[in-house]
Amino acid sequence: MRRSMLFVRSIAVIILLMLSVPIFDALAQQNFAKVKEFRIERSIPPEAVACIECHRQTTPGIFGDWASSRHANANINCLDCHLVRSGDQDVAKGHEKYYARKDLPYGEQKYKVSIAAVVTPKDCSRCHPDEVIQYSRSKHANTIEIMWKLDPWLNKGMNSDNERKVGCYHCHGTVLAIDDNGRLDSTTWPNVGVGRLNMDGSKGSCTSCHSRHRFSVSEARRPEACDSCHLGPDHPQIEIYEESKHGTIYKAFGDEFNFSAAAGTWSPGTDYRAPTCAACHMSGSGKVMGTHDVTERISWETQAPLTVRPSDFQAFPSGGDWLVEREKMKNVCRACHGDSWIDDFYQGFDKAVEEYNEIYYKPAKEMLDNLYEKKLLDKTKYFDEHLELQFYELWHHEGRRARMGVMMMAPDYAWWHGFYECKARFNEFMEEADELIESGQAAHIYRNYPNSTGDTGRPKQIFSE
Amino acid sequence: MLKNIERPSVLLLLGLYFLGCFFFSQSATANDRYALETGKGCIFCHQESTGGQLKTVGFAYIRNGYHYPISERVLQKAETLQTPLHKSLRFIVGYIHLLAGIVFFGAIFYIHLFIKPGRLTGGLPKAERLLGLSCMAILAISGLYLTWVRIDRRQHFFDNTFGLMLFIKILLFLLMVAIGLTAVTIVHRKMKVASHAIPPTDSISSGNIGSFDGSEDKPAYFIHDKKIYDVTDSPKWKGGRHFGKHSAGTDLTAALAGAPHGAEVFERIKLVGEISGDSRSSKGPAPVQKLFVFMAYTNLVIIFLILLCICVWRWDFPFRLLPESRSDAILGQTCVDCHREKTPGIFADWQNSVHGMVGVDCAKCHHTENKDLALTSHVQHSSEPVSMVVSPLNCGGCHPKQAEEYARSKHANTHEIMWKVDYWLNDGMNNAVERNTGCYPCHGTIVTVEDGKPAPGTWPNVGVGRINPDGSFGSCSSCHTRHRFSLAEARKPEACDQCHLGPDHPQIEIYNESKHGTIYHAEGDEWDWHPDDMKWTAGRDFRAPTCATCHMSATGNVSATHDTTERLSWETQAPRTVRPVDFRAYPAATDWHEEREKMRGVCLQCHSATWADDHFNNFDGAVENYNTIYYDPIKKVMDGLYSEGVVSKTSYFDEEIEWQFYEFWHHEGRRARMGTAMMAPDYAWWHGFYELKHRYVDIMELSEKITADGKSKQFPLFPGRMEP
Repeated sequence: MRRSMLFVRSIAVIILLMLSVPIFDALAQQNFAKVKEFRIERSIPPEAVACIECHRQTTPGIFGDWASSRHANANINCLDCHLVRSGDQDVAKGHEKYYARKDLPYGEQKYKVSIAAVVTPKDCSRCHPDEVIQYSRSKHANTIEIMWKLDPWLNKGMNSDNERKVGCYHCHGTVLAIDDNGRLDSTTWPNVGVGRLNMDGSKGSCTSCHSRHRFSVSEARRPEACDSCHLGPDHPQIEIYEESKHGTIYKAFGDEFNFSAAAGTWSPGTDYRAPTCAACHMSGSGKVMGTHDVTERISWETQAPLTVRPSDFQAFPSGGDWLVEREKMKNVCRACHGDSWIDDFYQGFDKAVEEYNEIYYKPAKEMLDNLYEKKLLDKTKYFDEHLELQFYELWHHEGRRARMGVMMMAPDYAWWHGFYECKARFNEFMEEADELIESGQAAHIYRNYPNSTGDTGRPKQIFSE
Repeated sequence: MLKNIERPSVLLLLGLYFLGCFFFSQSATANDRYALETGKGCIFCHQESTGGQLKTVGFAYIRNGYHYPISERVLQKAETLQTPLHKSLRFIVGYIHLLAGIVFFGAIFYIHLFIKPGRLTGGLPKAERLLGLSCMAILAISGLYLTWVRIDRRQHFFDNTFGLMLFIKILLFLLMVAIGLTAVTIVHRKMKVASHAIPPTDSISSGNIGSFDGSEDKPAYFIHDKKIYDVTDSPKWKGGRHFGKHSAGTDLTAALAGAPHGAEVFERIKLVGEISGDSRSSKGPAPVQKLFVFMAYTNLVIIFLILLCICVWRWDFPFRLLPESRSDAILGQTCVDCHREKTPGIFADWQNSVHGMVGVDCAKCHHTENKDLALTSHVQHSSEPVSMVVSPLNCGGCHPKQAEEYARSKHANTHEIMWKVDYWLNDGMNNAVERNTGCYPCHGTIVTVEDGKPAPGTWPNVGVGRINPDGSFGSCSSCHTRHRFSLAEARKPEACDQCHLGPDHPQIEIYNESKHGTIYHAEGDEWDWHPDDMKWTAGRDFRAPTCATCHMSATGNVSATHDTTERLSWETQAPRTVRPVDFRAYPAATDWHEEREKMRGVCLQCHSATWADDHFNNFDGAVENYNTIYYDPIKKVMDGLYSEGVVSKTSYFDEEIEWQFYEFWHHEGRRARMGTAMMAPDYAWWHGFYELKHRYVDIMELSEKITADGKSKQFPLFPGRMEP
């Protein structure tokens, strides 16, 4: 009897187990990897949680970027940078308007806070004061002033406002304004130029180099952080760097470099084996302290028409002494080079600057002034006569390429794009000038110069005096 | 309840259960190539567009012998069989089938090992007959069900190894059943009659003593030392068996040596007599008994063969007896075998591709039914007719959505656009060599097949607008390069940069200079280009968009497209910027408001609405600026010069001012507009509007000179013109 019971029970167990097979089968079908999930489990205010929960759906790119940033690691959330008082002029109107809706697809009325779209160095300075102080005295932050003091395009109104906005101001920065509807003026926005004049009076934008919303130090250490502005025919620093041995080593080995070393600890040799833009111009190295003022460490203004010492650069004289700054730069070089290498390099650089100044720039400038004096060229507008363009490109294009190419040891730029072109331009310029003087006939003026409609009024916020 | 069962039994049951699971687990192999035969995308049969688990229709397709369309009967059956109830039923029936088989085979082995068939010549015991018959019945019924589940058509038995083995197994089983039934009925009866004719005691010999085995009311005799003893009534010899070790009807002389007793016990039992003088039986076993022994051994051999059949299908016989689809399997194998040696680059690329992983082999894309397209040189050493040119028509077999979108894009139709717009071609200002090495590598050639190979001059080519011998346009491998065909590759900007570059449409240079591009170059190697969930997501997988992100990939609410004309609100490549719907060379069927909304949706993944709207404001401003301030006045001047007749209309490019005008819109004009569209200020200004200004004043000055001179100078010799 007992035996037959055991047999019946065994059969029952087997059948039960068999019936469970389809269930196991169903479980086994989930053969995809689990998707990365962000969970908010930390002590931040409910308003900030509301920001995050809404923006992870409406702007997943912003959310994802922030979530993998150091800010997120340190519990710095949206409000810490974007929060403003409700009466402030830069309050994001669209955001306010959203909360005025009756049917909120995301969020709840009780989480409404006033925020500004534009975050400025002043906001950043609450946590990063040294960086902002250094930055605010740099040529970067003051580039609008420099541009207006030097540039014939702006001062003679030779290009249109839109051309300026999509061209010049993109890098140099706009003067931000609020339009009649209380929204950001669309002729000044979007913009992340390094010299942007913000509505709180601060200058620049930290996200030019530490791009939103990752704000990564490793990104700014890479040459790519600089190359959307420092490029092209007129200041091809990135092309020069890429052609230099420093740049070629970066291209070949850069993916093995450690760009994410903690601030102040990024060291030549251990973290990288060739410098990037930041390594020479900003990062700490040996005895040299790191700085966000890119005017430091510079001993010549190679972008000026006539090369001068930074303290003599009239558009924006630096407060430094070039001998001190050169010593800083030399110390950067010393991490990898011997003294005679460095000294002899600087000898070549100084010689190139002197030759450019004396042999190319000064005689051409003298000739140009001569033509103006003889009324063979007309001074009212710039660029509307061929010789004016020739002179402009001599110093603004080839002249800079030659000097900067020498400075960063890229022979192709120093010679083929630099002095070689300078020679050709100089000869053409002189030939054309001689023809004018010989014939005594005033130069052809381009009538109807296209789109020379730009505002020539300097921004009052900067040129108040 | 479990508590009552002893632990060893539980272990035994669990062991049996997992063994069962192992036997019945189905190893599924995805096979993308079938999509080409059916004309359906992968998603038709699979859960995912790239493969993965099969849907019911996928199972039905396999059951239908990889043929499409699938009959309603097969489809319904596949549906029924996918229900948990049916799966369980099949499991249980399968278990019972196995159990019955093991019991049946076990019984037969027992007979052969311990009883010897020769001893059963007197007829089979009733219990054994009953066991055999019931086992055969269970095996037949459960086997019938299991066969119905697996087999849908007669051919299923003959077009794959499993089917063939099953067929042989069933034949063997039927033979076995026939033998078994004969044995337990006719033969059994005849044997009984034969054995009941008990020989007279004086003629008992070692040959016929087997008839006195004590079974079924027969006397039980045995022989010892040539003497015959009768133990029919002995309580120790019930049924002719002595302690389960010795049987009556045998000579036990030798066996006594191992017994616990000696010959003295024989004194207590009845002596029948002595065996007859000749040791061999004069009569011998009856023919029916010989037949029975033969049948028994035949069944043993059949069991071995049935087990062999099961092993061949279960543990993968090293040779395919019958490939699933004979011609395909043989051909696919041959391609790889040969090309692994001949073209290791192609082979390795394919092997590392998704195609290689899911078994989309060479023939799936290269096989051609059209004799005119077949490559002659290949036919010389292989029976497979292949086409060298694989076109979007081939790819569309498995990727129909992509091919369809692509077919309506500007990419696919670039030939038409080029011929409608371009002076070089229409005026024959460059020659065949210059076109084949310059224009056509990107725009595509018109590929023709002559003498069994692509005609020289039209090949090699992977231009996006290539006109293929089968009449389709374009080439998927322009962006998904051969033979890797990678999705990740096409997502990277490098996929586009071989064509979208240079003085006339420097999209890649513009992208590289934009903040999007600089972030890509700094951090792109850390991004996930092919996430497991197939949803390439901003912020999670990448932090700056590439060309594909904005123009093609799915993001937010915007669905993916292979039509790059989508999401465009201006034709910035046209001489005068127009809406895509007004682009006369190839008018798009889109509404620019909708398309801009799509593009804006992409921007909104990372930017606020204000940011996106103001950017479009800038872009519209730049387009307006270019159209009215630069293009229109210059175009008017050009038209004036032509209508005055001072510039000749005959050939373009043979006068200085024509060059100037061409580069004005085709070079600087595009750079200014595209530089603005993709936020690269260096291109918008220095390579764009800055250059436009120069060009504008130069053209104006030149036109004044031409008007003053009354004619423009024509270049007397123009090099490299197309031969008339």
